[in-house]
Amino acid sequence: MATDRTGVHREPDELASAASRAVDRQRRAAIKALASLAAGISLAPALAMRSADAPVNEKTVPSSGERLPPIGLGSWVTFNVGDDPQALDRCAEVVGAFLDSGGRLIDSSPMYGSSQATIGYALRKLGFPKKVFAADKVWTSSRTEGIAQIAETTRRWGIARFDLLQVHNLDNWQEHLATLFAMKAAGTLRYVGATTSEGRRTAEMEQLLQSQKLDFVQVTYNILDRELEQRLLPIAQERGIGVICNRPFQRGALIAKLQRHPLPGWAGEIDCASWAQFLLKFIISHPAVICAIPATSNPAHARENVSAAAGSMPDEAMRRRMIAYVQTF
Amino acid sequence: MPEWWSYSLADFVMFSPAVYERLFELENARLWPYQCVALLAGVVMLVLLLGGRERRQRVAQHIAALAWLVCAWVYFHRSYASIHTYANGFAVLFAAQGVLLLLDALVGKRATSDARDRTAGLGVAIVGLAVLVQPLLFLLGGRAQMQTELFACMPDPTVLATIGVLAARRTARGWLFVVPLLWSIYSALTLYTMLPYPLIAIAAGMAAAQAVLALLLSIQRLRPRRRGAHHA
Repeated sequence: MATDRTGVHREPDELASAASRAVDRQRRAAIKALASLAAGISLAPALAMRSADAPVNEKTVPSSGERLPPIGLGSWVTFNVGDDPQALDRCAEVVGAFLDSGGRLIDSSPMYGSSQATIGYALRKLGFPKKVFAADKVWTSSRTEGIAQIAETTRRWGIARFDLLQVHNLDNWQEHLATLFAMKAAGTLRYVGATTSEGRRTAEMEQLLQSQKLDFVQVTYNILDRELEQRLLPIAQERGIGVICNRPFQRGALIAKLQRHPLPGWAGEIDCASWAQFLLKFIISHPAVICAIPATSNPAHARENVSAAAGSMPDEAMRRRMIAYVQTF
Repeated sequence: MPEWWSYSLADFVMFSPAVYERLFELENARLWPYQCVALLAGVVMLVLLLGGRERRQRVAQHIAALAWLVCAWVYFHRSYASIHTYANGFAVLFAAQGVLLLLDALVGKRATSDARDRTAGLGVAIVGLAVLVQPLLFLLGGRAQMQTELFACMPDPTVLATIGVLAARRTARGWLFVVPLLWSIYSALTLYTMLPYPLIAIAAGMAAAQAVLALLLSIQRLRPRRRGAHHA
């Protein structure tokens, strides 16, 4: 017995039949109609199964052409658990669930307390899965300290090299970028980036994007914090710099606020079963965005987040509709 | 720090409330059965203050000083440092305050009589609250026994009890309230960001009250006194 995308249990043969495509189209139309009619009636379980079964839509890293799943895993607060063995195991479960469901990019920073060591613990427990796209940051005042910090970060993760290293909050970016570009040239680093959050130092970041050949830029962008749509995101897109989005849920505040309200019936049209998927689909459907990095301490939420990359994605009209709906609360 | 106004309190708290409480649980497990000694020390401190005698108040201050040193090592260096980048800075601050309390009790200004200050009764009440009532309050509120914060184990009850000792001892210097004040403000703000997590409101309220007490008492002690005002 298998589960089709509507969540109805069917025999595998039936799913594989030549007629299934047409049936699926009809079923899809029926779901859309039902979703529209039954606003307020939750279709979450069925849609959740649809998303979980569907393959993850990947995005292309502009500077290399590499394909990457557009939902990553952040580690701010959630993975700062110290040496608590129970919490470390729980975090390892989160990482396992994230990777199993199709995620790859895991992001951390020396600023995040024990988060790097927690990721290292999880990776060690999972046998250092090759699919992991390891992203971290350099966050210190001098170049020498930065080099030592990168070595310590690498040791904490327990890996040979990082896929992506970013200058955290643009701190001393001139010196750190020189280090990171040298590492890239030497083949000990694949991608170079810079980060900021909550719209800070945006003008300086725009200048950086114009003047430096970065691979990635990490910024805060979500359905309510959209100021970067005006300049920074178009610049990144034009310059071929992939955008990673932090704080997709405004550190949980946005989810907490929205969960008091029903998901709109039309969310089914873009295969959304939850507010988390709704918010993530909005972010990753922006053409400049390569990846959103929600953090969680719950394995089920990690799976749910990754599944936002599956199924239909909102087009521009739908994105406007999503904004309008969220702004009513 | 650029665009400092764009930062919120939550930007500086890098752990979740659950991890914070679990920190107490793990540290209590590591410390057991030291908590019995700590509780006994707290009760002894309370008894020493009841008589209002200068010498006994100094002994109570010695106990408070040792409690600060234990917190510096056990809580800040051993536990809090695992989730907070600057925890060892707090450890240094707590150790320094412990040494200052010790020095003040050993060689600080001595009262010429055992006359009680008007804050003596308040001081005893504060110590009682910190050593006995505060842990009970959290236990009755539903916090797990192993997540209890005790005097001479965790910072908040230690700071509150010390404010009580200093309030009871009329010759204690006003500047000895500075670190308790700073910690209480930091603690109240940290706990405030964790609202509405269960019982955090009580803890945040107590830390805020602690800060107000430390501020008022430091002002009272640092204010120039009329000659002979305490030589009744």
